Amino acid sequence: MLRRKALHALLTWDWYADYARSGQWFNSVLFATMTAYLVNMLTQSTSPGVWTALLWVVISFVTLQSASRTFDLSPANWNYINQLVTPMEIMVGKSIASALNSLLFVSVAFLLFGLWIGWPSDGHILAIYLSVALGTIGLSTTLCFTAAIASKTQAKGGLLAILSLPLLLPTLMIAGRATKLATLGVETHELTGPWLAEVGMAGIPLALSGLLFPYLWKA
Amino acid sequence: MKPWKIIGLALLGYSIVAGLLTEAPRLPVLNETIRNLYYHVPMWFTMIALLGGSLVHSIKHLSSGDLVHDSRASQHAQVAMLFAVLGLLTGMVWAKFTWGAFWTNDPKLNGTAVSMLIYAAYFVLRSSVDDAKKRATLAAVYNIFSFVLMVVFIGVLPRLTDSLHPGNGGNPAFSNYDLDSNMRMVFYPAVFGWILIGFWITELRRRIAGLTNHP
Repeated sequence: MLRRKALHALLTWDWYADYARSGQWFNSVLFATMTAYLVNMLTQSTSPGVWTALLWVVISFVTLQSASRTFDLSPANWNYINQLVTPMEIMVGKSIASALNSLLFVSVAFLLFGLWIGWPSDGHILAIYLSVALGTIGLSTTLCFTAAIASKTQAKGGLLAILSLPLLLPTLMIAGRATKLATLGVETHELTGPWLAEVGMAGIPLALSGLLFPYLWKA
Repeated sequence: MKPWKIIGLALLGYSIVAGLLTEAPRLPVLNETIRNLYYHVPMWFTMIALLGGSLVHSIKHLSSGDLVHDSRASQHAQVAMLFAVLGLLTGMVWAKFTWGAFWTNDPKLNGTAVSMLIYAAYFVLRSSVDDAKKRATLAAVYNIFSFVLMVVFIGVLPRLTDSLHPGNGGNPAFSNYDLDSNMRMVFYPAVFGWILIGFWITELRRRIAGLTNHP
């Protein structure tokens, strides 16, 4: 059972940890800016397919960077949180926080992409953004769980990338397809299928995480 | 020798010989390479069956805490990767003769490569944790999580996107090509034979591990 109060407590905790009391958020914004600028320097004009591919490469690394500190808390902080909420609430709360964080940083990258490289001429920006946002949430839910696993080992940083990247590919393929269709300016009803698939790719890891996280947390 | 091992050997022997000697449909592009169906596709069935076995042992470990199940899950995954490599090699040879290249950007091929990467990551995770109990739990959780995503990837995605493989992306399945069903008389025994052999190899690995004092 998920308690709204527990989720609120976790989100508040993350807000203070990342935004109010530290400049952690700025690292990710800077990372998103630098990767988008790097892409801009390397490619000046691109086709919709290449634009989509480059955007998703940037998004993958931005979400990976953002997720890497999801479970990065001191043992004392974890002891405190464990008294307030259940393991399932931790997982769901952390997934929501991770998704919101990633959405913010990916939105920055997305805007800078438009500013520096330009928007695909045939695409609807809102449709492209919705495809990007849904895909980002899907990546975040998977990354949040692999970050939880990696946090239990000695080699956290390197292991997170190794564990996550193969698992991100299904979401990346679906989200990339939805984004590419949106950049080509297809009708909204044709995008409904890929968008639903993106929602599914966010829901499956979240449901699995909720079921498996209590076992992980006991370890 | 247990009966299932004898059955496995018999089915495998039959399918290898019959696969080379029986009549195969004369189809353009595929020609005689269609016989590779008996040797290539069963590798994937065996891989999935063994990964299913690994999944069952991971679930058993989480519910019982018994380290023996963790060891079994790892052994099943190791043998599954052997079959994944064999499936990839037989598929690459087939692809060269029919599609003109050893590797194409096909969703099924990508799915296979990703599955191998996922289980490579599983083995990396196992080697990253020293404490046996903790390693077992982390590996079991990752195994269950990744198996479900892998099934989505290799089972569902190729059906949604364009693929060169029969039965995917709007291409007719082999059952549509092979109207006389002669191939099924060899194909199904090959699948069951290879699956049984796969589990036999896993059992041998378990017994070797037992002799070297690893459960």
